[in-house]
Amino acid sequence: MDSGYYAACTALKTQSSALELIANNVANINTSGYRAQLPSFESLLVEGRNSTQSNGWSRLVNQFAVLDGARLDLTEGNLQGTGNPLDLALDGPGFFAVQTKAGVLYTRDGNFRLSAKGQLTTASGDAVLGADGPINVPGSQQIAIGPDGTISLAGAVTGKLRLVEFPPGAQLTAVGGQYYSAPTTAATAAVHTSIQAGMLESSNVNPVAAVVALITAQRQAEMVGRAMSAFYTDFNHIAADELPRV
Amino acid sequence: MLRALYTGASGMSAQEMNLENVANNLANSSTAGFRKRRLQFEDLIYQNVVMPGAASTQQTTIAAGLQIGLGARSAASEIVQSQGDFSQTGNSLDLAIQGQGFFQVTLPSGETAYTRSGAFHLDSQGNVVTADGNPMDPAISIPPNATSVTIGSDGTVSVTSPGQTAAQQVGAIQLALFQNPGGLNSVGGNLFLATTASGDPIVGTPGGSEGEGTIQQGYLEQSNVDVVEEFVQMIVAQRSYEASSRVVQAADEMFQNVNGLGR
Repeated sequence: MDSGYYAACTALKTQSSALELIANNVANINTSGYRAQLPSFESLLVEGRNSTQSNGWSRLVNQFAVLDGARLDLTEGNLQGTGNPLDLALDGPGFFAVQTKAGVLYTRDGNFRLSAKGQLTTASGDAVLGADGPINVPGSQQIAIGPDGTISLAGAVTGKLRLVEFPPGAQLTAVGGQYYSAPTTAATAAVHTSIQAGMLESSNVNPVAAVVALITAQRQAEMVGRAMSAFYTDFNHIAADELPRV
Repeated sequence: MLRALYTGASGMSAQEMNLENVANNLANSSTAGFRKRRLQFEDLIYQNVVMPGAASTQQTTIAAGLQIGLGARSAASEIVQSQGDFSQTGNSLDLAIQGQGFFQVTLPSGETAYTRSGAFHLDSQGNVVTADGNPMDPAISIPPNATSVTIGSDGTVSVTSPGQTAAQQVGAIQLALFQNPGGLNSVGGNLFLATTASGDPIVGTPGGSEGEGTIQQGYLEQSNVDVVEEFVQMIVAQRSYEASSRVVQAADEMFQNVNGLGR
């Protein structure tokens, strides 16, 4: 049948997947340390990738748009002052390293606290890693964290937070809870990142961009829906009902 | 497409809870010794449609995978331990703590509860009790003939009686500290209970080296709720709720469109 019909079908599926991505961004508009996902579209040439028979026309009608991936928007979110000395915001492209049951994961959400055992943990209770493993704060001493991640207890330096950066194009996989996993070889010690204590980095979802993307996805879905019904009802109707009568 | 509906709904319910938290903070903006809570959110799990790093050919890997997240949830409401403002009352049993400690109070069940609210009173037997009548721990009683009560910054309670020149010590207030005060369990009445998250209390003398803080007699610590900040948070909650409801609407319309195809 008309390949345009399938192109429109594909576009509709693509736009509904795009809507799902946007929905997740909007739901996390207020999640500290969340990184927005940007949809990236690709035209899928069904025919003629390696074929010699493809001509311009068939390429044109077979360029289906598919959602081939989502990349993380790594721009920085706004900083919100909280006054809690264990709330840390990262200024720069770095990530905190966290020891979880699933191995070392990375996060931008610096909403840390001390566990009952005196360990520095994330909001979900996973140990934040320092240069030499988890960070322990004995007793209830005053903790201060410097811009370069130096931890001092009652004025004496006791350790350093492990901050990592990833080269452009590193594969960061979102695992939920504002954690990201990455290949261990990709992480390098941070050089362009500093810490602002007493602040939290808010989500970097731009509400304006999110709503515009939402409207675009919705209207494009409407348009391809119109195209589908043109193929389905008008063309096929003429082909099946009108033509035989002639 | 149903995913977007539920994702939008998850954002709405998270923001609804945010508003509920703001409402409670605002309602307690003039409760002495109240500690505000701050709601934190986290993103839910992701469905991997295309796994990043998977091989696209023998030589190349997929640079950006397609991961579709399933929304947000409210993860925790942490107690914010910033200091509230002090207001002078002149009442000798109004105490404020300058530091991180908590007063200890014995509940009728025998359990110890912790509070930042230092509005104490005397009961008919002369015991120092909270407004609800729970005695302070360690128990302190003031002799009926005492003319004045003085409480030092280190918690020493002394009284003067008629006919005596020297003040007499009748007890000492001790303060409790927690490793993770954000993990305390609020039980209402300005009281907190210790949990496994907060850790066991470290009891010490006010003014000690652990950071318990010092006691100021004649002052009350106000709530640490910042009304302006709560209003800003309220606007954020409301607008984020609207944005998520807009997503639900868009998903609904798209769905409706699909159902209308082929008619």
